[in-house]
Amino acid sequence: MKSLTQHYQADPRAADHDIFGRVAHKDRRGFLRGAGLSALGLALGSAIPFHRSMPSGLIPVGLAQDMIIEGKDGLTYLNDRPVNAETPAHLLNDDITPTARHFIRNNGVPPEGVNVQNWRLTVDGLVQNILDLSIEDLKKRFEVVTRALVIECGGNGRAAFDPPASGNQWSLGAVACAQWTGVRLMDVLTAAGVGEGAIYTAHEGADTHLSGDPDKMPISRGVPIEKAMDPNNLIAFEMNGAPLHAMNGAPLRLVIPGYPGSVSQKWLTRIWLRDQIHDGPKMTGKSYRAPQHPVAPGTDVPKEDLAIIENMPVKSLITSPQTGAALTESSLSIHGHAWSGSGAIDQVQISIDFGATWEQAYLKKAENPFAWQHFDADIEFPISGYYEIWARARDETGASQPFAISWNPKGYLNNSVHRVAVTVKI
Amino acid sequence: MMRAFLVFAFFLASLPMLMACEQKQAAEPKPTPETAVSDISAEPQAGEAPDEETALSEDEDDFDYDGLPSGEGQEEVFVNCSGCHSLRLVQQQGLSRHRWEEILDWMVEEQGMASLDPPEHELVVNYLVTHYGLPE
Ligand code: HEC
Repeated sequence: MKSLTQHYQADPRAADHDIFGRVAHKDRRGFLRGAGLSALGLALGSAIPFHRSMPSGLIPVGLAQDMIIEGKDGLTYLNDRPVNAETPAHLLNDDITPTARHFIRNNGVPPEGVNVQNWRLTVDGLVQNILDLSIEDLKKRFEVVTRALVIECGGNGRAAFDPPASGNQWSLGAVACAQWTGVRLMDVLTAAGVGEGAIYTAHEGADTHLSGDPDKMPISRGVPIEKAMDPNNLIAFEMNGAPLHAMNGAPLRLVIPGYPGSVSQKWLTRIWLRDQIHDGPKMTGKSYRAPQHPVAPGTDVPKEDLAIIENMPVKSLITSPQTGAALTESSLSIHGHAWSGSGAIDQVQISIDFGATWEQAYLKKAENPFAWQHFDADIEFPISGYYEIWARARDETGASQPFAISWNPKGYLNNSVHRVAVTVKI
Repeated sequence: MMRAFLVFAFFLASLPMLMACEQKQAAEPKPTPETAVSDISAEPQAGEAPDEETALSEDEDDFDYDGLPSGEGQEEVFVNCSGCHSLRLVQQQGLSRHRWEEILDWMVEEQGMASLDPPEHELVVNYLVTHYGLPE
């Protein structure tokens, strides 16, 4: 992908369009408000008061580096409105993903002018006591804990589907493992008192629908009560020791690891308990659902045959070397991470001969449940040539990664073996 | 002429949004109690009124339709599909006619898109299938 600067140099008007969706006025000064302006404002971290006098095609000085959103770095943007961006695999090499490298999956328009002091979280529905809490209340009333937790978008890997599946074409990097600080969802639900008959949670956030219709929510998903009561879920207000990034849900969000990222509601304002499976936006239809039985690629699967995705599958990612690397030595150290929604990883294997032979990687234990585990391997290339480094993880349930994609209509759950290509010239 | 009219219509359609409620259109948080008290419109509003003349007389000849390839249905797709999200969401896809039809149903039934009258619907779907259809 071209850098922002290159983009602007090549064709400023086109760059305005592509990157911010700004439509220039006839006089080429200023741009139509609405779409592009808020994206640009968010990108700079603040609104732009004098946008009418900003010539179109001028890179605001805050954007003059290869950075589109303040506090984010190196991401590949799939869409600017709504913002959706993933991290190239080699930039996920850190054991704990820096905030700057954490992917962004927005379904709507993030709230503006967020006021941390006034933020409130309501817990209601089938509870014994309705709670109405500020972030300070959460910190005072409940134990504050920090956990390394994986969040992965359900559609991570969609780009490899054939025939293609609709939605953002994520390649590999809609996944991250940051240190999240917050209170346990379980403790908050216990304080509210889970009512008789409550079987499902429903989450709401302060982001607004893309259409601008105030009566519509962009997304509201939930999880079965048993999953909600897992002690590893957090209501988080910090990410890597700092307040949440605006694009990752500031000032408050859920982190429910092991499930598709979409249940980890950002800009969290409400959790309500229901006596039925939640039917909010993106709970129904084809969203975040996969066939209950395997289907041939391209099959038109009726809605009744689709089931809500729960645990995310076992997966691994090679974060070093970078794919496409040209190597000049015969020995190489490999690094990467492995994770599963169903428990710990018990082995990772590496192949450099297209899967004919495998060797065990050295695998570290997880820092805590649902943190990704790191693996290392030292490999020797026998002769010069083209190689693919493949990694395959297995979790404690015995499930391991397939070589091919188990195709499904909406392009979820791609956990096929990660392949990194290198050329070796010794 | 058709082209000029559609582009004109698009700008016309965006005028109310420009003049009255641009915040609402793109960025206003739901009026929950906390946002109602917080100051969401810290941006100065003075001098916001758009210059109608210039907006309306936009010369469409060098207008690039956000990168949509030219062809029958280009304007219709631009006008109908770039209001809520950028066209990147459209341009990333490669889908069968059946899936495009399903996507348009989803836009109307769940996402609040105004349904298209049959000839326009046909034009839009044909364009999408031609330019963003299943790779051969
Ligand atoms: C009224 C608002 C609105 C309009 C108008 C609209 N869309 Fe959408 N569209 C949405 C929303 C909301 C989403 C979900 C965005 C997300 O998940 O990030 C969406 C998502 C999509 C997607 C991704 C679908 C998927 O499976 O995730 C495609 C493709 C799409 N729209 C195409 C179109 C086309 C083509 C048009 C014009 C005919 C159109 N949209 C007009 C609101 C709209």
